[in-house]
Amino acid sequence: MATQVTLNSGSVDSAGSLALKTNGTTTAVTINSSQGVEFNAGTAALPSITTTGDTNTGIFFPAADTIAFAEGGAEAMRITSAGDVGIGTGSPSSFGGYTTTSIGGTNKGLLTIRSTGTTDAGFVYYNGTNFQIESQTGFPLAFSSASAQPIKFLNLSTELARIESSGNLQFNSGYGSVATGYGCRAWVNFNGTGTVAIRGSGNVSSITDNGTGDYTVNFTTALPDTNYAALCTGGVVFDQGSTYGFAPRVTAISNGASTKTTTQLRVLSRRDADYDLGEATVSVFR
Amino acid sequence: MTQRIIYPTDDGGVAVIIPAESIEAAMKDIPEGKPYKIVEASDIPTDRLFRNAWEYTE
Repeated sequence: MATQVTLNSGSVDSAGSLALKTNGTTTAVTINSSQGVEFNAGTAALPSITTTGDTNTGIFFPAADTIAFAEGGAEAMRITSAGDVGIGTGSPSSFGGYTTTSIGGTNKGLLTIRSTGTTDAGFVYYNGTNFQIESQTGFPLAFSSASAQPIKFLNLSTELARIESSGNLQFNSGYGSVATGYGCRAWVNFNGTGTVAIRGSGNVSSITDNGTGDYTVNFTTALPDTNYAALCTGGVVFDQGSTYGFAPRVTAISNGASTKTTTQLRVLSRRDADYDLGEATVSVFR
Repeated sequence: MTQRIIYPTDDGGVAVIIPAESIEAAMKDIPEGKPYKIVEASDIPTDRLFRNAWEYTE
């Protein structure tokens, strides 16, 4: 029984494999019982698996255990023997202990996340200066962690800041460690003399001039409770000699109840009597 | 802000609201039920020697 049949451009060997040859000596395709269909390795210019009429586009095998994809005779994508994927590069990053995907080579890489159709929701890319995560118009950029997990910001493995699941913002801005920063919730700098006027403010809708040395700071957005700390400072006229006081009126003394509420804080300035301040500042912390 | 809101206080005086951003945002700072007027800042006396003697008139 014949175990091998030689064809004009191919052969069947003793194991029953059918080899198709391109020029009588080079095997282009082998069909056998164990592997199925085998192709030659091919090149980017001439991929081994291609399509009629576009023979410089297809799949080829540039190295052992490596798969590559060619478009127009150039390599467009590769999966290395380590399982790393390169898009636009034949040398994807090899990061110890990780399976990687690298985008970009001759051109910078950009990963686009789309919402629907052709609408881009955002990009991950390098803009020549910064590595950026950038959302597009109509798509807010959000960072989300699992329940009870913080969102951390690191420099390599050193934690610089975090947002606790409670919402507390913690950072190390000269604190010596990452700790919660308690913010000023409202502030105002005003002239309490002459034409009383506000020089600058934050979260303050207005001040009320109640009388000599008697002002109310009204908050734009109410505080959650009245357990906040208020810091009042006033400019002191040089060499006046008398003791000044400028502080919240938190208890009734002579005329009316406390006005330390979630929406306003009444402050009094006194020397020997109520006294207008040329530069009064009030800061509220909580 | 060039405008102020004035209203009478319970002890017969007058309070002057100085808005930080806008008159509209400061309107909430008028005590409920109090009559009030919106006036120009220049209409408020700058001499505050007898500030506690100021009175609100309709």
